[in-house]
Amino acid sequence: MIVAFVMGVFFALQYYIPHPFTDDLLTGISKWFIVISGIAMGLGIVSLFYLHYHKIKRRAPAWGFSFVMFIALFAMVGIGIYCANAEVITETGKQTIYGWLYQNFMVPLQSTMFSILAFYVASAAFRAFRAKTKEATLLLIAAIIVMFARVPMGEYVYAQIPTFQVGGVTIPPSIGDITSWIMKTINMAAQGGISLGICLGIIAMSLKIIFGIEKSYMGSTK
Amino acid sequence: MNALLKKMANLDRRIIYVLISLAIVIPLLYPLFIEVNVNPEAKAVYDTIDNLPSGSTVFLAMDFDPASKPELYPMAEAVLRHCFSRDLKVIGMTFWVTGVGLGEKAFTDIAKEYNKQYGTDYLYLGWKAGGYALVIQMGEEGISAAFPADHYGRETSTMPILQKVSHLKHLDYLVELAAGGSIGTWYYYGKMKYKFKMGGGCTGVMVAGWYNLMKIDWINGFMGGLRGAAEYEKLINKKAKATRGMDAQSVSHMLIIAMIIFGNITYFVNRAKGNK
Repeated sequence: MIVAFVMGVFFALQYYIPHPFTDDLLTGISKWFIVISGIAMGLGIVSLFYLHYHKIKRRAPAWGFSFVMFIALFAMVGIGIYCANAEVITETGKQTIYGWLYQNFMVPLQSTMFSILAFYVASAAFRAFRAKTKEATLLLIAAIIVMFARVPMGEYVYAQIPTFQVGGVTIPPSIGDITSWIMKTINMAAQGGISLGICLGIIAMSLKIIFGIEKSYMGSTK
Repeated sequence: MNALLKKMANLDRRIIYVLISLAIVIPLLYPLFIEVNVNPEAKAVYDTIDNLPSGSTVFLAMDFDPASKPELYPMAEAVLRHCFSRDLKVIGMTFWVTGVGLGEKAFTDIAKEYNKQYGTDYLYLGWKAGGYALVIQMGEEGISAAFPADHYGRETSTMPILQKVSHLKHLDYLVELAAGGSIGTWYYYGKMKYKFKMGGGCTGVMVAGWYNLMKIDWINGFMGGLRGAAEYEKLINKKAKATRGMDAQSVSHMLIIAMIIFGNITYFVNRAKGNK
C-alpha cells in the first residue's frame, strides 16, 4: 500500500513538474516497469501451467485441450529457443521454422476464432435486434443506415436514386453525408459522454488505490 | 400460416450460418469490383505521408494480432507501399507479442517489392515487454536504448536509419494500427510529450470511438476497418486484399440488413397475431 501510495503520488505530480530531475526519475522507474513486465510474463506462464496441469490431473471436462495447450507451448518455445536459426524452404522463399509455425498455425487459428464472430453477429442480429421500444427503433434505424452506407454496394445502390435541388439543397442528401452526420454528431456526442464517464471512473479508482481504500489488487476481498 | 410465421421467427441458426458463408465466399470467388469512395479520414493519413519530404521517417506501430489481420494487415501493407514508393524510411514495432510475426512478414514482403535495404531504409524492432514504459524510454533515452537489439537480434545503435532519428521527437509521423487501446499509450506517453504527428488505423468495431480521437486532435486521420484499408489501397493505386474483401463485406452487410428487417417483420406479424 505504501508503494502504491508513493508511486501513485509521484507519477501524478511528475506530470505537472517538467524538470530534468523528474524526467530522469520517470525514465528510471519506467525501466523497472519493463523488468516487472518481463517477470509478469513469466508469472503468467507459471499460472497457465498450474491451471492446465490441474485440469488434466482432475480429468476436468475438455481436459484434452489442456494437453494440446502443453504440446503447443512446448513446441513453440522449444523451437524458438533451440532451432531459432533453422530454416525451411517455402513457396515464397526461406523462412525460419518458428516463423513457418506462426504463419501456418497461429495466424489461421486465431483468424478463424475471430471470424466465427461474424456468424454469431448475424444470428444475434436476426433474433435480438427488434424494434420493441422507441430507443431500440432509433438504434436499429441508425445501425441499418451505417451498415448500408459503410459498404460500396450500399453507396452504389443509393446513388441510383434520382436527386433534385430544392433551394440549393440536394434531396435526398448523399448517403455519405447522412452517415457522416450520424457518426460525427450523434455518435461523437454519445462517445464523448462515455469517455468522460470512463475517465472519471479511472480517476476515482486511481485515488482509491493510492489512498488504500481499494485493496482488491492485493488479494483483499474487503 | 401461423405455424410458418412461428417457424420463420425461430429460423434454424444453421441456415443463417450457411447464408453468411455463401455471402462471404461467393464474392471472394467472383468479385464485383464495386468502387470504394474515399472518406476524408483516410485521405488525411494519405496526404500527411504523401507530403513528407523524401528521407523522412515514419514509425509504424502494428499493435494487433492475427485475429484482426483481415482488417489491419492490408493497412500495414498499404502504408508501407506508400512510404517505400516515396522513399520514406520506416521503423516498425508492436506491443502485441502474438502479432510480432505479422509485422515481420509485412516489412519483409513489401521491402522486397521496393528493393529496400534493412537498417538503412527500414527497421523492424519487433516486440518487447514494457508497454508504455518503452514509449517513455524511446522518447527520453532513445529508440536504441529501448531496443538495443532489433527483432532479429542485431544491434540497433549502429544502424544508419537511427542516426538521424534517434528519439521519438525526431519522428515525422507515427501511424498506429490498433486492435485495442494502444492508441492511448502512444498519445499519453508519446505524442503529448514529444509532439510528433500521429495518424492511424483501427478495426471496424473501434471506428465509432476514433472519430472522437480525431476531433480532439489525438490523430489527424485514420483508416476505419477493412473499408479504411480499401480506401488507402485506392489512394495509392494498388488494389489488393482489402479491396477484394470489400465485396464480401458488402454482400454480408446487405444480408445482415435483410435478416434484421425480416426478423422484425416476423416479430410484428407474430405479435399482431398473438403468437409468442
